[in-house]
Amino acid sequence: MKKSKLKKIIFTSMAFALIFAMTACNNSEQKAEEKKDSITMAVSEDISDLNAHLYNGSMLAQDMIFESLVRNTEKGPEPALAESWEISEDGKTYTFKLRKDVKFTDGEPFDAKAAKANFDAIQENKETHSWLELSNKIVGCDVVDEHTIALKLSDAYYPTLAELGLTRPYRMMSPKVFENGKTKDGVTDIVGTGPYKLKEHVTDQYASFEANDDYWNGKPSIKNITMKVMPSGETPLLALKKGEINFLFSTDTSGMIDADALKTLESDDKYKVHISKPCSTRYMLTNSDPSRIISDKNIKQAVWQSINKEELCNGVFSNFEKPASTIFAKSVPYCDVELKDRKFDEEASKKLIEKSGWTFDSNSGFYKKDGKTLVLELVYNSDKTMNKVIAEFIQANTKNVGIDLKLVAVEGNVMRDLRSQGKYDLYLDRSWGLPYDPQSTITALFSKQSFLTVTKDLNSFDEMHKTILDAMTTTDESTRKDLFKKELGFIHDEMCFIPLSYSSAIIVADKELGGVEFNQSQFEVPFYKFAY
Amino acid sequence: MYKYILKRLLFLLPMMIIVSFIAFYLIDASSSSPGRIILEAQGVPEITQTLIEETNHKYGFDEPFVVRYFLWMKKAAQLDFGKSFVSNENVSTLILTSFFYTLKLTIATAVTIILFSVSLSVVCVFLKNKFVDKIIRSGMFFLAATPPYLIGIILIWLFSVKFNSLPTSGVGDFSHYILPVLANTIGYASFFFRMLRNSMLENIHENYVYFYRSSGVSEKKIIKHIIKNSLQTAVTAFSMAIPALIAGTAVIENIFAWPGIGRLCVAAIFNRDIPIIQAYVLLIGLFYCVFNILADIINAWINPKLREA
Repeated sequence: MKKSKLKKIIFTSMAFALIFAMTACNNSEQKAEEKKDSITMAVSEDISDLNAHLYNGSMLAQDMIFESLVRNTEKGPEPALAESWEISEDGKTYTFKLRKDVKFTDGEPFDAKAAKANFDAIQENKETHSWLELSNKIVGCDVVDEHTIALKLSDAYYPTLAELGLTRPYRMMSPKVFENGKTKDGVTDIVGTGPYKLKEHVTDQYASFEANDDYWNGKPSIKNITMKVMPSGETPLLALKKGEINFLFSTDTSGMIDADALKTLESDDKYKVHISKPCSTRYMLTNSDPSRIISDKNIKQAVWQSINKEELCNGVFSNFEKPASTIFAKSVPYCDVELKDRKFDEEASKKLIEKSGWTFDSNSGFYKKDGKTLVLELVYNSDKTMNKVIAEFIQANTKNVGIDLKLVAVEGNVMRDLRSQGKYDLYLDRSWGLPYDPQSTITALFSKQSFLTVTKDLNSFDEMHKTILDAMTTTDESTRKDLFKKELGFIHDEMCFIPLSYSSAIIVADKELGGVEFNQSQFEVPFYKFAY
Repeated sequence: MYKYILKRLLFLLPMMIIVSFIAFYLIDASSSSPGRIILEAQGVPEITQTLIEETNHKYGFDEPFVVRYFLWMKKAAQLDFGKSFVSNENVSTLILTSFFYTLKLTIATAVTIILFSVSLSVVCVFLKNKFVDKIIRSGMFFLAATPPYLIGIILIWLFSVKFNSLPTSGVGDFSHYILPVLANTIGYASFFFRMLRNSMLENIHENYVYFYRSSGVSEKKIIKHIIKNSLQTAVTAFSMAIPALIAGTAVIENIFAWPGIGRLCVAAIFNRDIPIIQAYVLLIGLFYCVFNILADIINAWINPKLREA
């Protein structure tokens, strides 16, 4: 074949490929920008089964569709589907007056009968909800009149209203969708009373929601919300830049958006980055098993003071997370308590280690005792890349004070197994966040399925356990405050958690989108309050 | 020939039994109780012993392994793989829907891979060691070494964000195919390109080429023969590449939010959604076996000597 002929062929095919690509590039209009009453956002996973009484579905979507009798706010529980309530003197009966103007989106009225049907269906599956103490306390729900119900408890339980307001399981679904009066094995449709209704759901592709124009709290001004499934971390950012989506939401900086991406978006005129108050804490759990080096209080404190949290927040989180000196931020309910700060101080760390009889071995660069090196194991979840960065940062910090930190990267479920078997020294994790903080994270310290290995061998175990139980049952608010103060003191003294940073929920939206705020729960977004 | 095909097909049966056994054994191989795995997949915050026992009973895990295996096989033969632990949807529907999307992507990719690798290798062989050959070879070498993940992101950034001409991700009209197919092709074409180029270079020095040339056969015809003969060696590799493509597109599917089977399976692995993983292993196992047999049959058809082996 002649060279010139070949060249011709090459150039023709290249030109053809180019034309082909250009014609194929149909002008994919930027739908998100055209309509100013719509939000298109990226989600990393499919919304899954939204049954409000189970735990499979997206909490973000569940909150848009389903409501509870009360709503958790910064000021505490406020009326939602219940207009008002009364608590009996013994704290065992909650009588709720329900709103009269509420209908499910399938036209069914929301009344005392519907509310009772929901409570019955939820309690039918109460073993699944046993992580919430309320499910163990409810003994029944009675219809008093058409718009009044009485919720009966076995004992007084202060977080009743707060737990009723959680995203799940105590939200109301239309009884019409129940299967044989039950919801635990599935429902026939997704129907609630909330500001939005599910319009279309294509598994692993997208879910679209439309405003419920008969919403009792007024028509939402954002009419359509679409959640597109984009599993890869970089695609949502690129889709936002292109205008295919106009909204991003993440419960922290290691989720949908990372700190670097946020920094670029902050400097972009088109978007605004909204950051919530601190709503959860990154921390390391410490094992109380006396056979482990970490059970020594001096070593715990040495690790605590060896970590430069300022640098961690600056270098790793670009200051989108703040250094944490206590397990809960002061803005968390009952946590505005003064506790002694253990500041970053490498010299102090070294002294503490030496106090426990360890001597520095200049050959290895680590402390040694009876020929054994000061080695600790840090277990972390490898599912999220951010954890590796944090773990390596801590490893570098502890090395400076002569502690050899071994990193153990495992998947989420293996990690939980290691935790319940006590096979770790330090365990990198995050608190459940608002509204589960502080009560659920603290009670988890005494649960076999959760953090029992952190407290089980502490001398103050019994007293700590009693304090939190009392705090959960007392009906007197000021006593509860004192009890929480005492409990937080115990936790801080024993160093059950080594706090690292406080993280916030993040929203990236069009500059023109107004009314952007956060819910009390970091997993929810109050879209119905937004407007262009 | 028919006898050979029948023999090969009969071989499929024990293979599939082994694959099905491995797939089914997955859930029992884990150190956790199946009930715990199911409850974790369903996001239940606190898993108690009572719940584990209830769940084991509900899903029939209190039956002996053999009983469960045969029951599962019976249902699997009717394409019933149960329901997803996470979404409660029918596994067959999930698998088939996503498989269909992956298949569309794979077919488009297979076509472009053949076009790319054949045309580029022809160019390179006939311009061997010339500038164009060197450029193409080093370009292909560079692309083969670049992770598909990076290629995907660069393509989106370039064509979707900078040129604003193609959608970043998702499924839809023809334009949605271009970037994922391109990213996939870049990842795989270099392998076939190198294989074809080498095989053609070997063929060029075969006796039949000298014979044709001395007999005055036109260059065009000679090239045709060289390509045809070189392609034979690529048949097996290419047949095996199709199931590999189907199984290996998870990365591309994740970046381009393509609702394919790779993504479904990766998500299922993370969520420990065992029924989906079982069905996936079985399906991909079947695919590998079928395409392997297909390659054998094609080769036997091309080269009768193989039938006797």
